[in-house]
Order: sequence, then C-alpha cells, then structure tokens
Amino acid sequence: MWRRYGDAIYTLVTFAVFGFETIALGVLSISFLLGRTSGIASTPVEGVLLATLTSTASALALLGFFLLGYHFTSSLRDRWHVEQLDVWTERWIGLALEDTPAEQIADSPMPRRLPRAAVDAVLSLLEVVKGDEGDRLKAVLARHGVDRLLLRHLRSGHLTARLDAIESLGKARLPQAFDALLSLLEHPKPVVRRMAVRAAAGTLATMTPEPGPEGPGGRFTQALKGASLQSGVAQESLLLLETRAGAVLRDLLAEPDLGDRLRWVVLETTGRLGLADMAGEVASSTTHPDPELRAAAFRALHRLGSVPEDAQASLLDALKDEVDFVRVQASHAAAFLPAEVALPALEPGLGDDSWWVRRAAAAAMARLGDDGVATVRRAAETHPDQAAREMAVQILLEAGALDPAAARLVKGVA
Amino acid sequence: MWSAPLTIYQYVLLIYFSGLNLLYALFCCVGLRALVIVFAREFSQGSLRDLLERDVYKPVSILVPAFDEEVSIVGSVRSLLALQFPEFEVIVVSDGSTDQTMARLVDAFALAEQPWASRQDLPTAPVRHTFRSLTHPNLVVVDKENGGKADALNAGLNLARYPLFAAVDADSMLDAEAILRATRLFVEDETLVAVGGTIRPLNGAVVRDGRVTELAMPKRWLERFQILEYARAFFTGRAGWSHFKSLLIISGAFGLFRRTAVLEAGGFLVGTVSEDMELVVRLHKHFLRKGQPYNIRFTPDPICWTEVPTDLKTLRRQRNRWHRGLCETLWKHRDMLFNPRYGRLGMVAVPYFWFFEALSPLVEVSGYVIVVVGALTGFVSPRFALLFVLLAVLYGMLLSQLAAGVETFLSTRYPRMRDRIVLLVAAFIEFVGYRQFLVFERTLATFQVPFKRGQWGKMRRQGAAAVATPVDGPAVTAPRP
Amino acid sequence: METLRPKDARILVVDDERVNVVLLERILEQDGYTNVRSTTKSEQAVALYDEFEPDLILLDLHMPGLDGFAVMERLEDRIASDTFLPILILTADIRPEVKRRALSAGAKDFVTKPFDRTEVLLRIQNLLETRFLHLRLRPELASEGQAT
Repeated sequence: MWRRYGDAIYTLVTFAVFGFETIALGVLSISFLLGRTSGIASTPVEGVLLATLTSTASALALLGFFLLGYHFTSSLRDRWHVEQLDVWTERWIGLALEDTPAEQIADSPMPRRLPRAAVDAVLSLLEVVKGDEGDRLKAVLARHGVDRLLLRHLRSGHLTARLDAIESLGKARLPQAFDALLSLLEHPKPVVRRMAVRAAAGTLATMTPEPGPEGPGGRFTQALKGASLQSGVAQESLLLLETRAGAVLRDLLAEPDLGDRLRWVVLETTGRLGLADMAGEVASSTTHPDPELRAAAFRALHRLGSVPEDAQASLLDALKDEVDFVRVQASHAAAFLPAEVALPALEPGLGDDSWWVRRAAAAAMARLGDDGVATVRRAAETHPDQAAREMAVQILLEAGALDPAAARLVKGVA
Repeated sequence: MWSAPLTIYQYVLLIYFSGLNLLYALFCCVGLRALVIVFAREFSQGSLRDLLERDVYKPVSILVPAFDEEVSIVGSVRSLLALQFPEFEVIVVSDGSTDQTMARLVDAFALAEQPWASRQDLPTAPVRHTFRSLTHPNLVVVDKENGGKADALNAGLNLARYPLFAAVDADSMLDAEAILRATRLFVEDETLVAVGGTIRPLNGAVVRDGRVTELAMPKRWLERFQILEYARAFFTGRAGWSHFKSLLIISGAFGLFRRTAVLEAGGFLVGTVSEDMELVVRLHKHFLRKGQPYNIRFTPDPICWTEVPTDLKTLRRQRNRWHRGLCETLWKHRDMLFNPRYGRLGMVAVPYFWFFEALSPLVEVSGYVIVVVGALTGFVSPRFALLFVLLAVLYGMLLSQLAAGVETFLSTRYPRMRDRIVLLVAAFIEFVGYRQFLVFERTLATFQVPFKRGQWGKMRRQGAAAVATPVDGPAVTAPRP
Repeated sequence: METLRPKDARILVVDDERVNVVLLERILEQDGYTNVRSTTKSEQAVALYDEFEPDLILLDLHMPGLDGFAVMERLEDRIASDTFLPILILTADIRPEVKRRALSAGAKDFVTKPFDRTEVLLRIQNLLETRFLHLRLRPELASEGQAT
C-alpha cells in the first residue's frame, strides 16, 4: 500500500524543513517579543520575518519539485518493475517446466546476484507450484545464493530487512531456513515472532515428515509450546500446516505441561480443521478446571460432529455447569448425542436465564430429528416461561419448520 | 487604553500561533514517520494474501442505521450483502422512517416479519417490527420508533450476534478485503477494542463491480481540497495519534469494534451529534478506569471510499456538525482535561483537541481581526501585518503540501502527472479562501453548540449521485496555518 | 462419428494473478493442449464463456470483485442442466467448508495451491475424458457444438 523507496528521504527532508521552520518561527517570536518591549515592530524583526518568508517559500518550491520528480521516476520505475517481473516469470516457468535448458534461459549468462524482480518472480511461482517444478525453483534460489542472503538478513539487526527476509522465506518454504525461523520465535518483538511462526509453519507443511521429537514437526511443537504468541496467531500458524496439522495438534495435546492458552488454540483448530479422529483426545479436556477450556472442548466436539461415549457423562454435567458459555457449547454438542439421551437433558435449557443458552438448547433439540422438532414445538405452545416459548418459535422459524404467519398465533401475542 | 490588553493578546496570539504550528508540524512528522516505519515496513501486503485465503477472520455484524433513505437504501444494502466476506450479517435499522424506506426493503429482499426473541442489552426507543429476509438469511431489518442515530445503532447492537461489529453509513463503499484486513487486527491482538480505517474521497474515481479500479482527479476544486484534507488527517494525523496510543477519533464511516467492549462501556450515547467520537472517548475512559490493558488503533490499510460533498452548502453543514460534535464530546468528557489518571490521553491528546482543534477557529478568527484592525489603526505596521499573514499562509501551504506528498507515496494514488500537479496547486490554493471559509464555519459552529444539541441536519440525497454522506463525527482534523 | 481428441479441448483459465495464468497456460501448452484462453479479470469470465464455449474451466476462488463463487453462480444460468461442464477449482484455501461450498456451487474438482503439475494434468485429463464421453453419448449436442 506504500512505496518503500524514497520515502525515508522524503521523511528526512520533511523533518529538516519543519525543524528549520520551527527554529525560524522561534527566532521570530523571540525577536518580536523583544521588539515589542522596546516599541513598534522594529526593523530587525521585519528582517527576520522576511528571512522566514523566503525560507518557507524556498521550502515549498523544494518539496514541490521533489514530489513531482518522485512521481515521475516512481511511475517509470513501477512500470519497469512490472515488465521485468513478466520477463523473469517467463524465464523461470521455462526452467521449472524444463522447457528451456538453464544455459539458454537468458541471452547473456545468468547474473551471479539475481535482481529483485527475478527473486520476486521465483517466490510468486513457489506460492503456486510444488513438486518437481517447485524443487527446480528452489534449486535456483540456492544456486544464486538467495537463500544464504535471506538467512543472513534473518539474523541481521535491521528490522525491515529481517521482516522482508522472513516473508520471502515464508513464500519460498526452504527447508534450510526452518530452524532459523523457529529460533526467531523467541524474539522480543511480537511482529517478528508473528511472521516467523507463520513462515515456519508454511515451511513445515512442505518438509518431509520425520517422526519423533527430533523431527521438524517435533521441533515445531516444542518451539510453539514455549513461544509467547497471541492465540489468533498461534491458530493461524497451525492452519498453515495444512496436512501436517493433525500430527502437530496430536503431539501438542499429548504434552503434559501444555499451557492453557495453547490448549485452547489446539482445541479450536482441531474443531475448525474437522479432524474427527481426534474426538477422543479433545474429549479429555471437557472436564478441565478452566471453563474456557471446557467450552472450547465442547465447541470442538460440536464441529467434529461426534461425542465419544466416555464424554457423554461430562457433557450431561456440563449442561448444568455454573458458567453460561460452557452450558451453551455443551448444548450445541448435545445435538450429537442419541436423541433419547439428549432431549430430556436439553429441555431444562429452554428455561435458562441466559438468552444464549436458551437459543443453543432449542437449536440443538431441533437438530435431533423429528422427535426433537416435536419437542420444540410442544415447548413453543406449552412452556410456562414466555422467553422459552419465544425462543422455541424463533428456532422453528429458522429451521423452516414453521410458517411465519403461524408463528404469531403460536406465540399468542399479536 | 486599549494598548496593554491588545499587546498582551498579541503575545498570546503569537505564542499560540508558534506553539500550534510547532505542535502541528511535529505531529505531522511523527505521523509520517509512524507511517513509513511502522505501517509500511511491518504491514506487508504479500504475507496477508496467504492468510486472507484461510480461516483467519472474525465474523462481523454490519449495522446500518437509516432514516428516510428510500432512494438509496436498496442499492446500499445490496452492495453490502454482496461483500465477499466469509461470515457476516447485515442489520438495517430504520429509525422511524417516514418515507418508503421500509416498504422498499420489504419488496426488494422478501422480508418476513418474525417475533424476535432478542436480548435487551441496551435501552432503546421501542422496536415496532423485526424482519428477516427469506432470500438472504444474513439480513435482518428492524423498524423502530425514532430515537436518533445512536439509538438506532444500539438497537442494532441488541440484535447483533457476532463478536465484532461495524457501524457503516449507507453510502460508504466498503471493500470486503478492507473488513477482512481489519478483522485480522483483532485476531492478532486480543486487547484490541476498536479499529479505525482510512477514508478517502471517492469523487472522480472509476468504480466497477463495487471496487475502485482507477483514481481520477475530480473536476471541482472543492473536491480536490478535500482529497488533501483527508490525506492529511488520516495519514499524518491519525497515524501519529494511533502510534502513541492516543487515538480519539474513529471515523463513523468505517470503524470496527468489539461488541462486548462496547456493551461494557454502555453502547452509543443517545442525543449527541457525533456518537462515534463520543464512544471512542468513553471506551478509553472505561478501560483506563478499569485498569485493563486495551488498544484502540488506526490502520491505514483498509480503505473506505466515500462521496464527499460537492457543493458549499452541504460541506458547510457537514463541517458545522463535525465541529459541534467535537465540542460536545470534549465538553462532556471535560473531566479528562489535564487529568493524569488518563495518562497520555488526559495530559496530551485531550488538551490538544481542546486548544488546537476546538478553540482554534476562534483564535484564528481573532487573529485575522486583530491583524486587520491593527493594520488599519496603525497599531501594527501594515507591511508587517501583511508579511505576517503571508507567512501564516505559506506555512499552511507547507503543511498542505505534506499531505499532497503523502498521497504520492501510496500505491493507490492519482496516477497521472497532471493530477499530481493539480494536487500541488490545490495545496497552495487551499490556504487562500477554502481554509478561511471553513474556519469561519467552525467558529459559527462553536457558538451554536449550546443551541443545536444532537441535531443531524438535513441531508440532500440524489440517489446514484448521492450528494453527501452523513459521516457523523469529525472524520478529519482540519489543518492550521 | 467424430473422434474428439481431448487435446483439442477448449480450456478457459480464470485467475486474478497473472503468474498463475501464465504458468497454467504453459503447463497446458507443454502437455499438448492447443486451445487455451485465459483472463485475469473475473468480470470477463462470463463473456468469454459465451464466446469461447470452453470444455473445461480452471477457476480461482479468491479474486477481487467477482470471486469464484460469483462466477459459478453466473455460469449456472448458462450451463444447461444436462450438460457436463467441468469446473476445476484452484485455490490455496484448504478449509473443508469452502471445498463443500465450491463443490455444491457447481465445481467438479478441487486442487489446492501450491499444486503439483502432474496431478493437475491428470485431473484435467480425467475431467475432459468424462466431458467428451458425455458428449459422445449425446449425439445431438456433439454434432452441433464441438466439431473443429
């Protein structure tokens, strides 16, 4: 969204101009005050004023020409960059598809150090293609020392270079950068940790799996455990693992001293990825002392669409949990219990204090087949609590089991 | 006899002028630096692309308060429903519309009335009917009795079911990617409570399929000046404040809030002209008092395009309303002024807004008056007065040019060289006439504050060529000489 | 009866990233497909469909303006219910619900990015063979539209 060349200069020039103007104004103010105490606007003050005027006018002209010049050169540069990108993309595609032998790719021998556009083109292609073609492109990066350069930037002190390097390595998914990226998970700056974990996850997704704690998956798990990341960021990185996610999630859940926050993330991600075979491991968190985790476990089970037998008891307990959001999630998950068990357990939920619980209970009941819908319908007509009746009606409407016109009659209020 | 107070006032003026410009320049520089270092370097466009295609969003409720919008409401709602966002709902609240707004909505979206079992988290004017669309399951329409924009928003909030909400104006053109990027910020930072995006004038741009495909300079100078104003306000003004965690204003046209946080703070305040600014200030107060870590920030990346006024009358009304809103909010929360309990906000941001935003039109006008009177009465040498005014104008042009400069660095910028020159010329002309006109209007507004409490003012709409957007609240901090 | 060679098939590629489009064109070209058209502007997809009458569409999901789902929606009206027009979705999105949504919106197959060239070509071949089989079993359509 921002052009990153020339803006530093512009900022410096702006600072310089305003700094100068500030001094000038300061001098003007002081001399004015001094002048005032000794009489009407005296000549020295006017002199200062004129000087300030001239300098301001020159600053205006200077900045104006700078901007026009910048606009012109940046337009040209942008256009040139796009052209170069196209040229290099064609070349790299030829190489990747083995259409053109490497020696014949450029008219002149390939430059030792690749221009920016060339590197960008390779990285863009690596985002799209993998397998043999992807490997050929990664070999290009290695042959021209791009990977070594990026790794060097990764360790450098300059934040911008480091962030750019992390981003590029995230696109390139080079196995040789994996450990360096993992080590950045301990960096003091949150933005570095954030980008590093994403890049590491993306890289892991393409690496050959090696079981055990020494393999890349195991190292990633350990690094993630110890890293201080926001839940959303940890979740993103797990999603970026693609097919490797299941293994890492399983490893994490098996860790004895897994922090609560990370456990929450793991439960959420398992649910989102629909890893049904992990329902058993998820279910063990349904009795966790922390209500957030209990709720997360039930939400995951709900998304996975199954409640293992040994979790049934804890679910039925959770429907009476003292914390409302636990009751909500348990109610959602109850839709996957056998109807004869679930319906009687959910009915009390219709009269719950919390609006969300009432809704969840009614919705779950409506999903339990014809019996469920019949129960909700009965509640809509006969439940003593008006709020429960209204919620039942609403759920029936949303489920398409009730005509809007009939709804008013059922509700009993015009 | 007059000489002593006049002299003192002259000193005051001079110090005010210098101080103000110093601060403003410092402020612009800080904002620019924040933009260049923080936003440009740390927010990379590339990496976001990957994640935008994955599960990284939070669902959003989009609240659309409407009053007598029969001409444009169907089109606006349609374009909102067409947003490519994975999970969202649109809640339209008709605030006691007297025209065909409801009828048109019912027709266009096959609305069916439902007895709605809703929460009543916030008190509002009575809701008459609630509708759900049979064709668009994520559209809800509320017909309620008139209570004002804030009241309508609160009613919408009562129905909202997602963790985040956005209060938009029917006219703003929202980019789905913009929402996605904004929600990402909530994913990355759990303490984030509110996010304000950037507003840029849509006038002159080529729009296709709900997206801005090309920027072109509008014909009228009035619109061109506003392009500069918005660039300055957002990219230097708000960028700077956000960097120092003292952002007091989030534009009504594009703000994303965490629902639970807003409910905690009490929802929108009914009866104020700029409920969005008032809400932000109250959010700050609430969390500062609570001692809970929180964050309210601005992000330059999601851009909301909006039509800006093309005629003087609407512009005047808009700025009048903004200024009144600013003054009302500052007055309501006057206990924050120089109050160390509120940290940087109380000691820096709020005083800045008091003295250099709210009161500045008065000071400026008095400055002009003194200079003119002084020149006429010979109290001040006419030549000196003239030169001084010239300096003030030139300095202002410098600041204005800064805005034109910032625009040059954006990826989406006015591409033609001709447009760049026009913008630079606009930077010069802005300070001879346009600026003074606005200062006059804002001075008027300051005096009208006690009399015109909480009034929207009438908005003239022309359907497809909508004249103005009711961006309630000061969306821009107007420049100073 | 005409022998329809799958390699004669008309293939339409729609993706907003120029890199992806060029790459796919080359991959197809190298594999012998001679009749490939493409666009980076999703709003032109439908017009191109009308003009070109492709046998297969390679469609990206996440595009600015009209996304893949919107394009499929618009094409739905144009594709007769008894026609088998394969749409192969190419996307980086791995979420199960997106897959489901795409498949129910009319997509016939799904390939995630980054993709493997061999896999993509195999899927394309399978889809085209099915398409031509379908056409062969509908002689009245075959004689009308597909003759080179």
